[in-house]
Amino acid sequence: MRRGQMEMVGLVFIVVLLIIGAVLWIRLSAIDTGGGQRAQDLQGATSFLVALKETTLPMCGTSFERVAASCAAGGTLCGDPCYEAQTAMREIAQTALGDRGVRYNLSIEQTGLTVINGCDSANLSVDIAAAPRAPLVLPSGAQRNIVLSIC
Amino acid sequence: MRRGQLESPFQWVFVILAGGAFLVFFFILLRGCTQQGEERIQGLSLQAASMRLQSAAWNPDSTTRLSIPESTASCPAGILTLHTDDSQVSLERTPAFLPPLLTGGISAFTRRVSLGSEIPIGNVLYGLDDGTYYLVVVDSRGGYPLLENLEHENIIRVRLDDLDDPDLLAEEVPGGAKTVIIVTDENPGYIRNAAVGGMPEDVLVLGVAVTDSVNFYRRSGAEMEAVSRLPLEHELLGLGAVISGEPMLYRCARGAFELRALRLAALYKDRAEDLSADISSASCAVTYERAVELLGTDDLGQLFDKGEQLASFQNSLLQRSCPVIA
Amino acid sequence: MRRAQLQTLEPVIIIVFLGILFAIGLIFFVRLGGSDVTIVNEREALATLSAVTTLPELSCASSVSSDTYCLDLYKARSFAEMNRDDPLYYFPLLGAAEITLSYVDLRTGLQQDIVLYDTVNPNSTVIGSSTFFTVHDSVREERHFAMLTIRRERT
Repeated sequence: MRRGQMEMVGLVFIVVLLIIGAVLWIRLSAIDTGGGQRAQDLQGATSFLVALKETTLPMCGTSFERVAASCAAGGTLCGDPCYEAQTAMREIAQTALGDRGVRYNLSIEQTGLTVINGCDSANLSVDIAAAPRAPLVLPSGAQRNIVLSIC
Repeated sequence: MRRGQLESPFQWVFVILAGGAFLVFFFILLRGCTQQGEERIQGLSLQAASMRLQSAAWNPDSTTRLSIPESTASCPAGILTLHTDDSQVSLERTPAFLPPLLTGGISAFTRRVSLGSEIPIGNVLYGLDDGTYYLVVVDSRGGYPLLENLEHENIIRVRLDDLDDPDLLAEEVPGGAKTVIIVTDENPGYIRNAAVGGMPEDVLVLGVAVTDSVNFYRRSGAEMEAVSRLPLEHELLGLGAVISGEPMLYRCARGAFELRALRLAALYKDRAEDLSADISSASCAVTYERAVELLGTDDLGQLFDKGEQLASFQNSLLQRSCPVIA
Repeated sequence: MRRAQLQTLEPVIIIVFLGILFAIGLIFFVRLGGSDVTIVNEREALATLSAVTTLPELSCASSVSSDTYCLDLYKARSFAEMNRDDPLYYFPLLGAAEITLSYVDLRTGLQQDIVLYDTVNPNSTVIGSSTFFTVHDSVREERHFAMLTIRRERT
């Protein structure tokens, strides 16, 4: 092999050694999973909504689903169902999400029931149309969705 | 092109090929290391197999097929242990009924045990080893039903008369088999008279008879001798005795199951006490108090004896819209 | 450019080219490696959740219907107390983990925590995951919104 080619091989070898060293260093060093941690914490967005629906509102003696459906239908279950549903949404979302540093927008379509914690259309991580949602069936058979958007 | 002009592009090609080859080789190496790590976890090691058995034992009504190195099962100090020549692993607190010799493959399934089918008190796991054969003695009434009804190629029905034929037993079991367990549900005398003389010496021959108790036998020369007789509290434990074939292994798994059953009984008792204190209905409270008396036991046999009564309490509470015990 | 100038720049150009190759490879490699770790952790957490909620020690009675996982509040309290006395009994099933049930009592607006199981070494690094349930209060016939948090020792 000519000297020039030998030099070239040597250069390639050095470069590849540097690449190996750099990759190993990045692979083995502690990776910040802060973002991964949040992602894991939020994997249950859909289960959040299902659990919310099943939760009993003690002042009403019935489920959140029924109270919210009554609100959406303009009913009078539990006196003021919209107030009761809004209060429950706020307390549950704050405890389960807000107190753990999650910013969210929890709402029920076409009802005006919304709880926002630092999350608006400008900084949504997922478009509203793609956010996790759970159906709420009204007495009339119509359907509204409970939507949870995370920022 | 002149030779000198050809050198420059040649060098470039050489560099690209060499560098690319190094990079590809490196990434393949790293991927291979990762896969090797995973294979080590999922491989045929004793540790991996025991973890899978333990995991299966916690799931009711599970069916698992797994590979295991050739090993023996024993029960030192009441803890189910699997041994190979150079390693051992404990399956502590695992109610797994296994035969004494394990030859490479196990079909395991679990069953949930309940009091009166209403109150779950734990699971038991049965491990059917590929090298263990169950000769179920069948007469005009049938054979041991719980084993006979299982679908497995190692479960072989033999007629009572066949036990007089010294060659037939050897024919039923393929060459190289390690353990034969002769099973009957009546009259342990059949086991005593089983013609085991024709069975090769390297085959471990055991016998289990399930009547109102569990009777264990072992080959002694050309006959079967009685080894142990143990009480039988539940038919699913009887099936476990048959699967194990050996009293020590049976006691080991039964002991682990008893531990779980009594823990659950204590939890249900605790719950019944709390419900009794918090419930406003007096009639519900009375039933809880009666259940607390029955659940306050540290003996598995007594727990099973009271099972039907506890199950009836459970039903009664349900019908009266009281919170149930379990 | 003259040929001589080009020849002196050749090593530099090679390094730049290989550097680009390296960057592309590194981007793919780190993204693949990172997501493998996350997927394995999530799978383990979900397996633990499934195991916990099917235990008769914790599950709601079969007469209680639910669209989501349902734990019984009274059983959870008893289970937690039993595990304080004998924390290792469920180790073959649950491993080194801390499992906490938190539920929201809407009467008081406060969160109540029950540590169901804890075998985590205090000095170890942990990663966590959560999911949401209802926990059933049999006496009041109420379901509380609840969260099950599993913190597992990082391997």
